[in-house]
Amino acid sequence: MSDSLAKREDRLSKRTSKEKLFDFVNNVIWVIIVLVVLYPLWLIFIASVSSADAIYAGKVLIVPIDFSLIGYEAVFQHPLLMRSYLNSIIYTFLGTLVSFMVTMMAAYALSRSFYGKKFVNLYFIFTMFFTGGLIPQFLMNRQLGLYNTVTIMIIINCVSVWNLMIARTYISNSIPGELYEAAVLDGAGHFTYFFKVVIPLSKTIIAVLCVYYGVARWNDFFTALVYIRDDVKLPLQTVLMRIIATAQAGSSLDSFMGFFGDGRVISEAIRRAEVVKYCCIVVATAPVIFVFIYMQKFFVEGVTMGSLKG
Amino acid sequence: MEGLKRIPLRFWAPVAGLAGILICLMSSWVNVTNSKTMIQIDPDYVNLFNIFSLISQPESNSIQTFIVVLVLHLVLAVVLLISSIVLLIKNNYKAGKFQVLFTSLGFILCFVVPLIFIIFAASINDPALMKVTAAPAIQAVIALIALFAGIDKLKNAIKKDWQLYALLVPAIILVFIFVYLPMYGIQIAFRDLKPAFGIAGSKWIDLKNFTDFFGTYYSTRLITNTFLLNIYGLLWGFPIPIIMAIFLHQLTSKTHKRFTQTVIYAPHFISPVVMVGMIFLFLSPSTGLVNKLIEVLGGTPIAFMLDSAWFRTVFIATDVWQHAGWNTILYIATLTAIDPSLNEAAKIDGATKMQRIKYIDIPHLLPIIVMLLILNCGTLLASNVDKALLMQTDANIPTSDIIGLYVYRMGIQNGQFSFTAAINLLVNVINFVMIITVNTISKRLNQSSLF
Repeated sequence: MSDSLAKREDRLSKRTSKEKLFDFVNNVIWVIIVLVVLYPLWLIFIASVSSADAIYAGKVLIVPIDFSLIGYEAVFQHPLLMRSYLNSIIYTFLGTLVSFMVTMMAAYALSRSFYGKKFVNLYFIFTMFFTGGLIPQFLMNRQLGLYNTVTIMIIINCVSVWNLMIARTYISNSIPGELYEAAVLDGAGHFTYFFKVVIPLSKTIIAVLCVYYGVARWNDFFTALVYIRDDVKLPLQTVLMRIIATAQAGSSLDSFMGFFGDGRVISEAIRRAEVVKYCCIVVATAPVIFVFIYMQKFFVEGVTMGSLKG
Repeated sequence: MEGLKRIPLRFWAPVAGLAGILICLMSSWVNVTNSKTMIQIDPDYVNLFNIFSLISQPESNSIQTFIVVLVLHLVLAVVLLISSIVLLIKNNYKAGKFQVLFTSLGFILCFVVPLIFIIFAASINDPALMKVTAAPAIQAVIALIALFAGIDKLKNAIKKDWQLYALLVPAIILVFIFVYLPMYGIQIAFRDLKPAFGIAGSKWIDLKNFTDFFGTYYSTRLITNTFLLNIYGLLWGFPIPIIMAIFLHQLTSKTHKRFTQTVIYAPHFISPVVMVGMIFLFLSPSTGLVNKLIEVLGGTPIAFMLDSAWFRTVFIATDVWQHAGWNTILYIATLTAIDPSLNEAAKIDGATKMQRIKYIDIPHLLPIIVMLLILNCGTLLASNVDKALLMQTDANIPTSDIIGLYVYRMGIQNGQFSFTAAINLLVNVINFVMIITVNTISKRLNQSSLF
C-alpha cells in the first residue's frame, strides 16, 4: 500500500461524499419501510374510533373522522366475544405457564451431560422433521378423551422443540459451569440448582419463551376449530374469525344483526358492522403488541444467544 | 430377605429374561384360546404387514395369526434372554454398547409396544381388549425389570442423575402424547377406518387410499397449488429479510436502528385471523383502501379476494409484510457479532460500503443462510393452513386449495379420516425425504467449499 498513514487514518474517521449519499438514501428507504409497516396498523386504529359513514366514504386516512366509540360499545356488549376473551386469557396464561416450566426444565437437563443424552436429543429433534399429522393426532386425542375439553386448549403441542433448543443453547452458553460445581460443594442437587440459580439467571430466555408461547396460544384459532364444539369454550380468535374473517359479506353480519338490525335499514347495519370489525382487530391485537413492546428489549439478546453458537 | 439382598443384581437379569419367556408363551396361549371363543373375522385381516392388529386382535382364529403372535413374542423373549446371558458371561457391571443395544431392543419390543396397546385399549374402554392386554402388561413390567437389571450403566446414571431425568420426564411425556402417540395412528392411512372397530380393528386395504387420492382430479391441483405457493413464498420471503438485514445493519444512527427494528418486528405478532381480517378490509372492492387508491389513479377496482389469479400474490405479499421484518432477527444478530476491527481495517484500506457488504457481511451470513434454506426446503409441501383457510373464498378455490386445507376439510369436517391421513402421511414423508436430501447435499458441498 502506498497510502500514507495520515491518509489511512483520515479514511477511518471521515465519511466520503459517496458514503454520505448512501447513508442518506438508506435512511430515507428505512423511513418509508417503517411507514409502510405502521400505516395499516394506524389505519385500523383510527377507523375503529371513526364513524361508519366516514369510513364508508373513504375519508378516514390520517386522523379519526367523527370520533365515536359505537363499535367498541357493540364489541363489549357481545356476550360470546367477552366470554371468549376471558377464555383466551385463561388458556394463554395457563398454557404459557405449563409450556415455559416444562421447556425450561427439559432445557436445563439437556444442557448438562447425562447418560442417554444423545437418545433424548434425537427423541426431541425427530419431531421437528416428522409428525403423525393432523388427522392421526385428532383421532388419538379424541380417543384419549381430550375432544371438546379445556385441557386440550392448554396442553396441546405445549412443548415446542425449537423453543426447547433455543433455551438449551442459551442456558449452556450463558450460565458458567463453575456455578454448578460451586453449588454442588454447598450441597445442592440439580433441583436446588435449577430453581435457585438457573431460573433467576435466565430471565432473558424466560421472557422470550413466554412471549413465544403466549403469543402462539393467544393467536391460535385452529386448535379450537378442530377440537372445540361448545361455544362457551371457544377462544377469542375463533370467535373473531366468525366476525371479521369470513369471506361472504352477509354471513359475517349475522352475529351483529342483533344490535343494529331492528328498525334500521340493512345498509346501515352493514356499515356499522364494518366499524365493529376494526374494533375487534384492535381489541384482539392490542394486548399482543403491548406485550411485545414491553418485552422487546429481551428479544434480540435472547433469540441471538439461543440460536447462534449452537 | 437378607439373603435376597446379597444376591448380586446380575443374577436377576437372566431370571427376568426367563420369566419374560414364560409370560410371552402364556400370553400367546391366552390369545389363541381366546380366539377360539370369539367371532370369526374376514380373512383379509391376516396380512403380513398387519402385525399390529394381529396382536391386538386375538379374535381372529386364523392359524397364521397364531404363528405370527407366537413368533413375535418368542422373538421378544429371546432378545431379552440373550441380553441377560451376555451380561452374565461378561460378569461385570460395565455393560458394553452391544448389551445396551440388545437390552434396549428387548425393552422397546416388550415394553413400548404393549404400552401403546394398553393406552389404546384403555382409551376405547373395551373390557375384552383390556383382558388381552393384561398379558402384555405383565410382560412390560418384567421387561422393565430386565432393563434395569441389565443396563447397569443406566442404573448408575439414574442413581447419580435422577433429578436430571425427573426434570426431563414432563417434556418427554407431553411430546410422547402429542407427537409419538399419533404416529401409531398413521396406520389408518392403510385402513378403511370405521369408528366402531377402532384403529387397529378396521379393515386393512393396503394402498387404496393413496391410489384413490391420485385418482381424483383434485390431486394434481392440490399438489401444484401447495408447491407453487411455497416456492413463490420462498423466492420472495427468503431473500428479502437478508437484504433488509444487510441494509438495516448499515444504519448509522443507533436510535433510528433500534426504532426501526421494533417497528418491523411488530407485525409478526398479529394473529392470522386479524391479519386476514385486515386483508379483507383493505382489499374490499367497495370500501378498501387499495381499491380507493386504484380508483384515484384511474383504474377500476379489483375484487382481489374473489379472483383466483390474485390469491398467491396477496398471500405472499402480506406474508412478506408480516414476517420479513421478524425474519431479519437472526441475520442482524450475526452481523452484530462480526468483529468491528474487520470493518475498520477494510475502511482504512479504502473499501467502500458496498465492498464491505460484499466481502465482509455476506460471507459471514452465508452459513446461517444455508442453514435456514435447508430448513425451508423441508416445508415445500407443507401448508400454512391457518392463513389459507381464512383467505379461501368460493371464488378463489382454483388456486387457494392446498393440501393442508383439503385434509382439514375432508378429514375433520367430512370425517374421511383414512383417506386424509394417507394424504397427510404422503406429504410428511416427502418433506422428510426432502430435508434429509438437501441436508446431505449441503454437507457434501460444504466440505469442499470455503465454509
